Amino acid sequence: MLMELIAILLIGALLASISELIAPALAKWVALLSLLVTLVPLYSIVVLASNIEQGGWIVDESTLWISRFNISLHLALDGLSLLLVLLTIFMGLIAVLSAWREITYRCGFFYFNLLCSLAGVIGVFCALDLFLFFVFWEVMLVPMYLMIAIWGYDNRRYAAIKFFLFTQAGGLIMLLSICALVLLHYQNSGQISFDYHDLMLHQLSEPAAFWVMLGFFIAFVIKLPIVPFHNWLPDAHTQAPTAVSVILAAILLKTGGYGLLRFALPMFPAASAQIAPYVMIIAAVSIIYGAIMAFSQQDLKRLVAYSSISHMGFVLLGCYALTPLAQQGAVLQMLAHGVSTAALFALVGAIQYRYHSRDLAQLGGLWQVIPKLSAMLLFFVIASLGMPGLGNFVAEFLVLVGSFKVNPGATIAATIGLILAAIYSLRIAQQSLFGPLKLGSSLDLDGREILMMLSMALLLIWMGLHPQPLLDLAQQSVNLLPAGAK
Amino acid sequence: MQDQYMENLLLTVVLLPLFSALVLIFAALFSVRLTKQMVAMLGVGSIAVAACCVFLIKLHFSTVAGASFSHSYANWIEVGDFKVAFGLYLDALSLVMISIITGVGLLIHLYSVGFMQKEPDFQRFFIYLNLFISAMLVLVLADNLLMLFLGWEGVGLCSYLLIGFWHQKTVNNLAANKAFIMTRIGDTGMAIGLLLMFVLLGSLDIQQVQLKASELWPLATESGMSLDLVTICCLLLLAGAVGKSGQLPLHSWLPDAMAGPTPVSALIHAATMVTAGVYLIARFHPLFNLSPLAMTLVAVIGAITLLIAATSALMQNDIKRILAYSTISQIGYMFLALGAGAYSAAVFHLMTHAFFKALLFLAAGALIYSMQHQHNIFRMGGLAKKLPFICGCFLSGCAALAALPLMSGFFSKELILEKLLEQQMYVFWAVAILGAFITALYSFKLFFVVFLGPVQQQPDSKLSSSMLIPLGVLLLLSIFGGIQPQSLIDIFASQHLLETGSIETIEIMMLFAIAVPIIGVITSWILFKKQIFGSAINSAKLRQLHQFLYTGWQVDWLYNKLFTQPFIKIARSNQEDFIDKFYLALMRLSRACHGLVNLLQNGQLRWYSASLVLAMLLAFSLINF
Repeated sequence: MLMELIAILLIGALLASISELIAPALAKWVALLSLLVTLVPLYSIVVLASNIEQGGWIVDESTLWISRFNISLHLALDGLSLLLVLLTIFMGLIAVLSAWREITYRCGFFYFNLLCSLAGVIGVFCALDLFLFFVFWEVMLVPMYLMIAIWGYDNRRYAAIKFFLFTQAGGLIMLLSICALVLLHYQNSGQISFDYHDLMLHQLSEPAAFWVMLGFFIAFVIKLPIVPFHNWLPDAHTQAPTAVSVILAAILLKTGGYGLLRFALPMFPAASAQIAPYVMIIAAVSIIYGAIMAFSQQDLKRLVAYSSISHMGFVLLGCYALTPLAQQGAVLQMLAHGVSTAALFALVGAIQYRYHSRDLAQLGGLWQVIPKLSAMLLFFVIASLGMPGLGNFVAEFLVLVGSFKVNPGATIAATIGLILAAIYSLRIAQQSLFGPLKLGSSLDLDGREILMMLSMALLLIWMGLHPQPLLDLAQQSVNLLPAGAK
Repeated sequence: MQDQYMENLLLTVVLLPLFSALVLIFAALFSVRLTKQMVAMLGVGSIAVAACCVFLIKLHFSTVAGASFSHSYANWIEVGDFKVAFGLYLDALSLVMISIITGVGLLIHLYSVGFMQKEPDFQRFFIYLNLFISAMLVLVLADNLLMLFLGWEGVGLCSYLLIGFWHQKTVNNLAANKAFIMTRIGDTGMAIGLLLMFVLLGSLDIQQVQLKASELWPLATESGMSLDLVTICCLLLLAGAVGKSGQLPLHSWLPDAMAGPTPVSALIHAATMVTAGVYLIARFHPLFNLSPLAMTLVAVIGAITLLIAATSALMQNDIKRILAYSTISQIGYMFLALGAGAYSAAVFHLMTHAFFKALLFLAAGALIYSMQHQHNIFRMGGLAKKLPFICGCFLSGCAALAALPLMSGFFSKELILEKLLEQQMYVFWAVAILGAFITALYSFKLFFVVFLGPVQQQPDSKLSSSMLIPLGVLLLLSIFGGIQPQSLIDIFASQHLLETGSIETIEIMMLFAIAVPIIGVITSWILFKKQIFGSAINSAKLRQLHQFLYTGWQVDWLYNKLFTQPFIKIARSNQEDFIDKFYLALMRLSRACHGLVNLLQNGQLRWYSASLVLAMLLAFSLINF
């Protein structure tokens, strides 16, 4: 089922790129259609998931790929993966819709890249063979690089290369760690295996475990991103076209959090517990630093990018509090942040499409001319500052509750982030929506955009008021993780 | 059967305003045109039905002392031992609160229909107003802390939206931001309190938390003025209360919040939301009773705030700012009462204050409405004959505010003063008396300057009946509303009472307390006759003092210097992100290396052959040695 899911996207990618030869406008329809087709296997997976009582793998498929090294196409899916795969498809749809008008140059190739990178992300969320995982990690990266480098704004080359180098450096370190892990496993058991379960059973000795874990940790933390490895993100976001920003914020960052929960924490429980107190401090620093940086920005996209860094700090904090409560909060934060920040980027893109500017000093008074867009922007701004009743609040509160007992200092520092979040969020609203009108009038949201925004808004409200189904799904995976260090 | 009935009624009360807000939102989003009449019908109608439901609840609610009703409607979050549900809890305290919210709320909604008639954004106004009522009801009916927090932040959000309702003006937006951020600071303290209480007590259910707290931390003894855990919990809750209720040190947002439409000032910034802090402390009174230190602090905050705000109110020219400062000052009285353990007196004063302050604000709105948006009281004068009805409203409102005998405010304020004496808090009593004097002074200054003296500006507009009816009802309430609900006394009955001082001295002091507001009014009259109000000040020192009080003890200036500017400076100084410098340096380094290596490859045969020979020589010599 998972193979089909990825295959549909890859075939869709090929079709989209071919369809450009027939008519350029066809490509986006092909992309939309192939994303909608994925809902078929996805639906059967959800049905399976609802039938499974106890935690564990909902789908588990494996075929041998490279027998010489015992590498197999091992794809499996549990609650955590399912949530993120659902997010990926949903956000993929949003991304296609937000690119609908914006992308006119070489549409076919654009949607080819978009679908390829979505396929890569789904692969990352499902791969249980470390070699396969690494392959997918790269598959999602290269199309992203191309999309920024070809369809981005003025300074796109610089941003694309920066994005590529940072992630590639992380990927390289991870590859080293994977090789080291496999070799150590081979020395111990005399058998080469890249399989997650095999490697999990084999507990490394003290110093080796620490260094191998560090390799994974750095790769994932760059992806999240966490201060001081965050500098690729603001540049990538500001230069990327809207659809790419949406994917980047909503899904790509989540691969980092997923990696931590799937690999770094369960494979190296002792080493993780050892660094956990320090990581929580780094997370708190990241939350506050990101928020202060967000406040000082003039470029709306850059501002939202820095706020992303601040929000992802909560994910790291939650993961390394090593309590089930905080880790479930972290999972929910990934989902809620994915939706709210993607919506913000989509709206900023919509403003940019209308006014060719996203400079806070030039915007102002938009509510007077485009009230619907403004109301939507205000909604997501309020969601991102952590208003109770919306998903982000539940997530952040769970993270804080789960972390408080473990590390009150870092948790209180993170809570200060809530004040700073209010400050930079209200600055967005005040400088772009309110005050005297500085620019001319423009068209308000059309049906397509209202559909996009409303679906995301309702999703956030649902997460805020009835997060239980999501939490139950996440619980299956989180409970497999090691409990806190004693 | 009876329970089911209550469940449904309570749920209706909370959801009805929310439902009408949602209908209005979706209508706006899908460009369904609604006439102003339809919007008003929906907006006011939902509150009216909610108020009727509250009345039914009142009829059915058991009159037995200490009765309570709670019901959990749905599960919200359940992770391990962290369980939170959507549950409502009703007792005498929340019954008083929902009566005020729906009752005064209904009157103010009705008034708004007339007041906002010319406003093009009529629909948006009622969306926010209905959302606010809903959030406020959640706040006072919540049975657990997380839901209370949901309502708490919800009212804060609506307050933000309504202060900045006229968003074309930057000043209004800045005031809205200030209100939200300052209350957020308090709220964050409260959020930390929530975390702490969950970790220590293992629950967020309000009743359970207090039960467990009193088991875990028995009442501290005489030496209990220490910073123990229960005190920390109380102080964190207090932070939230102080922010929301505009008490020191987080009070300076409230005068600026007057940028919003006047009905908003009446509803949110006088009658309901700003008293949420008082409600919070009254709701958690078993917890606060465990910590003498926290109680003393509540009283101290109340006392200082009431003096600072009253003296500031004395110097204002803007009619709404006078009322705003007087709100802060009156809530200071409530905090003082809470700190003295006189919870029922505090909630009683909350109730009467809701009546007379709503009356004053609505009357001020009507005044401003008919004076072409004039806010300055010194530009008005002699309006008693022109606007007799508004004059009557102001007279009874000011009399109630000044606590003149037999007005509603009189009973509640005298009760607070009496309780202070009973608790032998003489210093606090003296402060309260001084405050009462200043209150009488500024409230009648306002009245005399606006309604007596020479005419300055002619009023023009006529008031619609939808504005007059609420004014009339509130007028009656602020005169006759001084009846303390018996149920309130009952639920706070279990207080430990200290032995009171001798009855006679108390009686004499009480008589003195009754006389002080009257003396204040007389002083105000004398000052008015001598035309001291609004006259130019000659002495430089006095002018400085006036300026100091006029700016609300220069708190804004202080905070600006202490927090705002340093924060902006820090943020601005690192706009370029210094961490990026490291990566840029890395880039330059690799470019430089690239340049160096590039020099070697210059395409000249001479250079290549020479380097070849040199390298060979080097290699041979290395091998030989």
